[in-house]
Amino acid sequence: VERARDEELRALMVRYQQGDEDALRDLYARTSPGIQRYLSRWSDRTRALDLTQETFLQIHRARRTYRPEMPVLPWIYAIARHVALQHVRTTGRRIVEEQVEFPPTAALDVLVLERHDLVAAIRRLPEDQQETVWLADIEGFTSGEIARVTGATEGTVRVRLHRAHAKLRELLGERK
Amino acid sequence: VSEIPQALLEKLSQDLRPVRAVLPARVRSAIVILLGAFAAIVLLMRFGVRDDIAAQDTMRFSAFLLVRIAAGVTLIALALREAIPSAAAPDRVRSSALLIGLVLLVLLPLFFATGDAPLAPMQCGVLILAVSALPFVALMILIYRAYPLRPVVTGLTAGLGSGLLAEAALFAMCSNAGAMHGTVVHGSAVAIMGVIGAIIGYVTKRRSPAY
Repeated sequence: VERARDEELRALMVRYQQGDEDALRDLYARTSPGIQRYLSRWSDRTRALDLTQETFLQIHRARRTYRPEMPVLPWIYAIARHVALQHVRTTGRRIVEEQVEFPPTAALDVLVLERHDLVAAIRRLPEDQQETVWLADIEGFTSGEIARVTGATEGTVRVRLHRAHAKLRELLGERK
Repeated sequence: VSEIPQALLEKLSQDLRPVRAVLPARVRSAIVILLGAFAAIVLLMRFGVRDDIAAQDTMRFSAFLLVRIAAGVTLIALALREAIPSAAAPDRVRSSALLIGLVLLVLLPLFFATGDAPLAPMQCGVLILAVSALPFVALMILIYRAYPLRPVVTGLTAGLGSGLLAEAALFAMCSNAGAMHGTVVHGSAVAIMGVIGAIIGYVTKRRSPAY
């Protein structure tokens, strides 16, 4: 499923580079919910929507840098991350969204937890672990893809994920 | 399904012309390295190789030369990767490469030094700047045709890479084997290239609406 999704996104990106407006609409429809969710780590819901649109403006500017052999989502999320960090640097504020709508595929859903508890527990992790667990367990990224987005090595990503899961188990155990 | 907001669609549709994807990383690196090699060959043809070349231990001399070239090529490749979102080398790799490049810059002349030769000729520094100009300009064009997320770091890496490549040419040309000459004159020129790259990155960062 993941491979098929990636192949579809690659085909969309290539059509978008060729100037196809329908491909742009489709790309936005498929990726913007995830981007907005990811950006809600740095802002409230309204601002996350604005940042999502800003991300698409930057994606448009950067579209020539996409090559078909690259996975699409890490490329898009690296730009989204950059937009978010610029936002935090410029405003000096970080108001996070507490109500997050999880995608149906979120891996942590299997824990059958109160979603608010889960989000609250993730927020208590160190910053780098929060981002890693978010991308891995909520957005479904592999370690390699997370490394591409965050600029860490794959080994570092795996270590962060391991530590984050251990800490989450501890935090959620406390609540139970 | 999330629909793209009409205002955003209209804005993007104004400039929805087809674009050609950037060249593969290997090709872009090859372009810059070939231009650097061309500039170095022109310099060597104009000034010739160092006077003491016959007295040099071939293995040792080649090893020192290759280390310089490898350091320059690595930094150039890293700068080009840095300009593509999600393709940048991990922070740890880039920081290590920059650190190793700087250490080599200081240590290699010390290892190769044969005596307390004078600091002069200062001309070497100017020649390094001149030789590195061609690959540096090509590199910056390729970088800014892409999308550097961290322009200051990218510019610094690009400048040091071009400078190290040019310094390798000067190493083959300059007969002054004094440690101070190598470190101070050659090293300063490479460092200046790095600073120029970082300044360009900083200026574009401030001017670009993307940042």
